[in-house]
Amino acid sequence: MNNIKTTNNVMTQSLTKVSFKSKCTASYYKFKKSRQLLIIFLPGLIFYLLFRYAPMYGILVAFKKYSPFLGVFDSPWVGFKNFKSFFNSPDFFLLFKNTFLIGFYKLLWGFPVPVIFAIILNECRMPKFKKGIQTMSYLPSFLSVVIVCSMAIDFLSPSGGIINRIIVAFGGESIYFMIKPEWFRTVYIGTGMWAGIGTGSIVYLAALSNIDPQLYEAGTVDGCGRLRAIWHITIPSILPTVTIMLILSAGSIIKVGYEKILILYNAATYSTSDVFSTYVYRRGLQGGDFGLGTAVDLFNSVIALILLYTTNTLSRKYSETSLW
Amino acid sequence: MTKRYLSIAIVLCIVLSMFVGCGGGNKTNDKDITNNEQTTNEDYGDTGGLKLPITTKDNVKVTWMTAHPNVEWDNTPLIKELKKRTGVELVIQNVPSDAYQEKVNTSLASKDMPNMMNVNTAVANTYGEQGAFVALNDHYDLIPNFKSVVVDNPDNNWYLKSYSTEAGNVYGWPIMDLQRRVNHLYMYREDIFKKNGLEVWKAGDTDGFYQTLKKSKMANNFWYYQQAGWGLNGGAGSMSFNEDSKTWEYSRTTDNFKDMLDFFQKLYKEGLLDPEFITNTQNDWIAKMAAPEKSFVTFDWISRMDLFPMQVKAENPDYELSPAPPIGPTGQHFQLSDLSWYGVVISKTTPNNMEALQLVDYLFSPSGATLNTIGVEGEWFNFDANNKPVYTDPELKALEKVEINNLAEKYGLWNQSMYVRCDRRSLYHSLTPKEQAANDIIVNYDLFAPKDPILRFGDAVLERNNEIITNLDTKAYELAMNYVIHANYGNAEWQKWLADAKALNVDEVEKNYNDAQKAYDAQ
Repeated sequence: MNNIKTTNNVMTQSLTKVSFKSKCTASYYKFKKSRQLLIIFLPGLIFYLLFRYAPMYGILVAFKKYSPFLGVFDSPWVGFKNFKSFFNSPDFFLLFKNTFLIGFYKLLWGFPVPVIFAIILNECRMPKFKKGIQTMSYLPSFLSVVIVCSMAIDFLSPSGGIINRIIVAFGGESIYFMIKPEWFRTVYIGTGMWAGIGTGSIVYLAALSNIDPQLYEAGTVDGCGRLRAIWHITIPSILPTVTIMLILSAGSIIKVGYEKILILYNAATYSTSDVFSTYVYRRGLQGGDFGLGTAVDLFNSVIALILLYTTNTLSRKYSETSLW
Repeated sequence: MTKRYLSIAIVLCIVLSMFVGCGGGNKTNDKDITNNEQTTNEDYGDTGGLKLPITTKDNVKVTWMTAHPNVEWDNTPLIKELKKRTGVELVIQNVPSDAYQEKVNTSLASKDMPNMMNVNTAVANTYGEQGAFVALNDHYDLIPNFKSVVVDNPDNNWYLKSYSTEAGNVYGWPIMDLQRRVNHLYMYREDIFKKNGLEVWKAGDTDGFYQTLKKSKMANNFWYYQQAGWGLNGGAGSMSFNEDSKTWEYSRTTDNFKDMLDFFQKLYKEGLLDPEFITNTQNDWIAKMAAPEKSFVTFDWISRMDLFPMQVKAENPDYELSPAPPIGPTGQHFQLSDLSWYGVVISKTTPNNMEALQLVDYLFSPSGATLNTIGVEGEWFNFDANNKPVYTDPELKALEKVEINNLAEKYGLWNQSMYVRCDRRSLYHSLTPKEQAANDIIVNYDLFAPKDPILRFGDAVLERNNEIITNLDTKAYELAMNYVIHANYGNAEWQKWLADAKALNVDEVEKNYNDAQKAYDAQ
């Protein structure tokens, strides 16, 4: 009995050894076969390792009274003081609400527009016209945020802005949009949509170009009109791409940057425009409160991760598409 | 095969290009050593006891990180002259002003700092105590000008009380003699006034100002720069020292501040305040001021009174902008200091730090001030009968008016980060007739508001004050803007704001300031 067991053990060990060796060999051959692809992948990997993963130790700054001179490791620990200072700030819930709503409305209104634009452009049958419109749509994204916002402020000016001139021409009264809190989100999101429609549609246009033309031909044979073809062929074909982009965008709802808001907002619109990043910007001006800034960013990142995970899980459950 | 190697080579180039941005720093190459000329026998004026040259060693370089755009600062005539006089070669590292603070932080983090930088009090004192900067008080023997002008001068040694740390160290260099007595003031369109038979209001005659605006039916386009006119401190500061009660208060919860808001609310309601004052940019303001009839009262830098007419001469030769007295019940104007914080710090860990320290002290001497803000007498300029500098360079002679930027471009003078001391005979201090008139309005009638003391706080209290004031200011601006633009805002909203301010710990910050005032008085 013991001999059989021993023999079995030896055989199992031999099988395991052979299996491991053959695994290594298989891996080696896979690597050799795909080495060109791996080499192309190498810059991206190094970039992410160096500039995304390596600096992660900086999260420690959220728990420290950071001094650039002392460095991350030598700066004194303060525990959760930065988080307490942040959560106890007088307008925390207002800031959270403003940040979330701006991000949410940006997603709600801003996300479908490049998709619709890509679909409409795809239906265009005049190649030169299509290319011209596509090129023109990219131009606003080359303008800096400062220029886009300055243009918006000029267009919306109550005295000479084009929007108010149209309103007055139709018998209405001039509206000073920039000082009305209820208009802030519309202006913020509208300018973003205008500037980002071209570049945002690139991914969808690429997906649309991969749709098999035979599907459209088959649809025509079956009596599909243009709209039906869009509904039954185009949209389902790009739905995986749209889903992936939606999952990625959902994670950034809470991450609203301060640069554009700083240019567009003023004290009269604080009730809807003041967000986490502008609050940190003001506190940071007093002497570089890196700890608070990092704590807020860490909080934002945790919320973003939760949103991303939730969206991905829901997508995996109810559709066949998910990031992982 | 060749294609494969080519694609691998391209990939490697992409990978290597990611490292291009890493590391580095401004390493200057060693140039050939040039012999220092021994200049001890030359007379460079009053060096305040500092012996020249500062060093006789070869190749002593110091770096100064400055933020002065649009000028070439390499190897300027000033740098050459400084090398000749002091033996120290100055290398200027110029960065954009909006990226300056970031550069300071990067330098501190990398410990690869320039010899000199300009920082605020918090940065100087916090990192100074951590060993980043040279404590000036440890080296009074090397900096005789700082010692005589600041430490030993009873009019100026408040600087040490205000800007030293709790341990008694002072890290930041001041600026001296830059300010003219009056740099900013109210201005009105004199051509329009004459055309409409209007008279200028008197200082403190706020109602007269209001009536004048009503008569002309035109708006003014400034907005509460001058709290001093309502008995609050100069500029637009958050904390104000009440001269009557001798206590500190948060300026935006005072009755005076409410009076000011009521006044501007009235102006806005009647169309006498530019309705777009909230969103006007600098360019919008310039366009409105330059337009023939758009706006006619403003508050800005007094040199505009000469610059605007020059700009619009062709379209509107009658355009005339003239100085006007302050408005507000007190009719006072904020006072500028002869000596104030400039924040030049000397890195402790960078080579040649003592030479850098002494170079700054030389620029703080009368001789250095003359060199840095006027030039080399007898070579670049001569004084005329009125003791005003007249430049010898033909290009400067051809200009209608020589500005300090012309001197920056020609000789490397007037770098915004470097003029620790100015010579009051410089062109900057020569007032045009309009500027002199602005000066006279305030000086001749003694309309200066008293200066508030500059208090010193420990790190923890400073941090707490900053937190409270940031929160208070946010709510104060929101209240102030809405109060002015909404005619229905009144006492109810004001009382609500006072209650909000209490909840935001206004009492605590006022107590901190009053405690610091007691400590200041006890020093």
